[in-house]
Amino acid sequence: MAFLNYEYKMKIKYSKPVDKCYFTIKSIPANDFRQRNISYKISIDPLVPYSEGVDSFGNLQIIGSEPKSHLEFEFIIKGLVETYQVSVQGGVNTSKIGMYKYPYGKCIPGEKISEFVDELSVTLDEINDEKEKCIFIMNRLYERMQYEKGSTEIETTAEKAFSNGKGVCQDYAHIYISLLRAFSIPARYVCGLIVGEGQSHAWVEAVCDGSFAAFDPTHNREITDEYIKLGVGRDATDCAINRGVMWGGGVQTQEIECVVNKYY
Amino acid sequence: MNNQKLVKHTDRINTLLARYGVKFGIYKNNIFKEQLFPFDSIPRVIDYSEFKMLEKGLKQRVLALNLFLKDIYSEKRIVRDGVVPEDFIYASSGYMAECEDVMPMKGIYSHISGIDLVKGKDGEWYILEDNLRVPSGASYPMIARDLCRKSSPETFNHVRLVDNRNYAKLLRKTMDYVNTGGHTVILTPGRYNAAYFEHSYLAEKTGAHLVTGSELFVENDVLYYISLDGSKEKVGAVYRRISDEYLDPMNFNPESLIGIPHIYDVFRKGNVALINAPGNGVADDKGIYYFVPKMIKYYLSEEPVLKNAPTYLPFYEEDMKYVLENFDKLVLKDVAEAGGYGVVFGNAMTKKQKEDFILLLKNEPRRFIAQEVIDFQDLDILDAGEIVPRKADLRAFVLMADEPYVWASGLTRFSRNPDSFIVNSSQGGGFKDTWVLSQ
Repeated sequence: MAFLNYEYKMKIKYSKPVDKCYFTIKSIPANDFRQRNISYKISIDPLVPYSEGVDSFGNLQIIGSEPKSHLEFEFIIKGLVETYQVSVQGGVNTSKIGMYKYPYGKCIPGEKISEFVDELSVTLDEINDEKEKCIFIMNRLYERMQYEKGSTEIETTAEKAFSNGKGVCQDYAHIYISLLRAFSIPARYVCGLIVGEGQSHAWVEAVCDGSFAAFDPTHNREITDEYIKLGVGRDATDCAINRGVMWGGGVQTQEIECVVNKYY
Repeated sequence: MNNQKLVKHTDRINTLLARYGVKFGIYKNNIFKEQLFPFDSIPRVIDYSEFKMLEKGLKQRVLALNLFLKDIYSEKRIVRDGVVPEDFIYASSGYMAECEDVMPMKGIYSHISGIDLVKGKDGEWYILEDNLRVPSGASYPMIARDLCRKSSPETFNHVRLVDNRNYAKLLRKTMDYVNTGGHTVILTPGRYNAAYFEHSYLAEKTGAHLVTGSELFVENDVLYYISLDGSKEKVGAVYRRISDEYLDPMNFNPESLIGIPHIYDVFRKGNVALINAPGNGVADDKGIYYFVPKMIKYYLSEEPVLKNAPTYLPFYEEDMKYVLENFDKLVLKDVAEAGGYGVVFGNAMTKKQKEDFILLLKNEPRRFIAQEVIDFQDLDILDAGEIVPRKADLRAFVLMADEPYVWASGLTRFSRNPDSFIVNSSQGGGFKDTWVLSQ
């Protein structure tokens, strides 16, 4: 068990004024078997009204709009979460996992991933334990991939990243999901934060023996109590921290600062 | 049938229809072309007892389809109980995970359903498909009836006919039933949409505001309409004629320029009714069609009154075997296509085409359904002054408020090509009025 204190800050600057914008931000940790949201505080600049809600994946979301012209948009969330080190997390609602079983969006396998699936299936047929299967696939994926910042983009698909053999956490998660689903293991994308400084992180939850187990393919390990889950979805798009529509704005630059500290 | 006089007025009515802008826009080679929707003045006539049977079957079907949608986006009992395999839900392009656990006002998903039927030569009616997203077509028989009555009033003195001009009133009641408080609007993609005539006509007849996406906006979980004087007014019901993916760039296709950001979030919170509810595509999918009679039994514990066309799912081994053995007498449909596209007749393929198709079928069995070709009845149409028989179907409209209501009319579409079974207006067909006799 741990207490994690976090701050996530996102600042967007525009080269030309934005006439109006709409935003949806998914960055509030929801309670589950692994974490408890103790407190949080949100600030948005410019000062605009917003409301909170829950999306169809169970993510907490903030929605709002700025109808007036602006050149900058800043969002900050600070909070405290209690996390637990558990190997599996129960309470899988069977009517809600079907959507995580089938190829979807950026996790649709292409030729290269399908070849890899064939390659893995030889050994995988001999493993019975579902969690061991997940770990085996993760190990093999880790051997194949090279972590390289800037080698891919937000829109890069699992197939594309896998073909190039390089990627960042989002790509590792997408490829891992497409592999797990190819072996009929329901898997979903997780967007969140980990202890340290830097950016948001991505990992994967997979259904093993009726419960969700969580794996971090970028680090080739199961997750620990140093992870804060912000959102889940079929791929990164479903739980993107920020989604916006704007009119005007020219070129935009985005700065993200993120700090997570651990207290026992 | 005493309608010779009416037939004489065919040209006149078509001229009037053109003047009123009863057009159908189609895209051909990426060019938007508007064409007239040719009207044939010989009506399809349905007698009273036949209509009563259709009414019973259609109500039952639409009730079951609504229950199915409610179930799919919540508990999925029908999947758990093994009636519908989950592959057919999640692999359907119409299933939208974004709609999970969102309950529309009063639990109604399909407020306006367009059910396509044909009458076989055996005298039986068969359901061809269900349209639960944004079915169009009601405006055509509405205005045609109106113009026919004006052109040839004496014709209508001799028949005991159910008046079909109540559609606007029924539609208004359907929209008001789920309105959360505020204006009722009809949301159109705009002037260049294939069914723009219908959008404007229905707005005029129901007294709803006709709006485009740029006239609506969301603020603090409420949907507003910008009125002519610039003030903002709350909207309680949106009869949207935009498909799901373009409705809200914040929840669906982010590229959509015609949608309203956050409208689905307002709907999610129960502050506006969307008519029809997003996500309905999972129930009118060509693959799911096969399961509709099973749904009727499952949800209503009733025997289906109306039959499906005999359908096979190559997904099931047994059906695949049948399809391969009887390939030449079947029609094959790609479940992802609509509007008469992706439909091929086994006997119309060359040897090579057939081989390629069978290979595709074996690789992607979930993608296709196969049906017996129903030899459906011809209807008389007037072609260059001569009466000739042509294939025709019927789109019946079922409106759902406190209970389902079947409109005593419908859109009869016919193929102008003597050899074709495809009657879709996007493929150049024409239409007729549909008369339901009152006794």
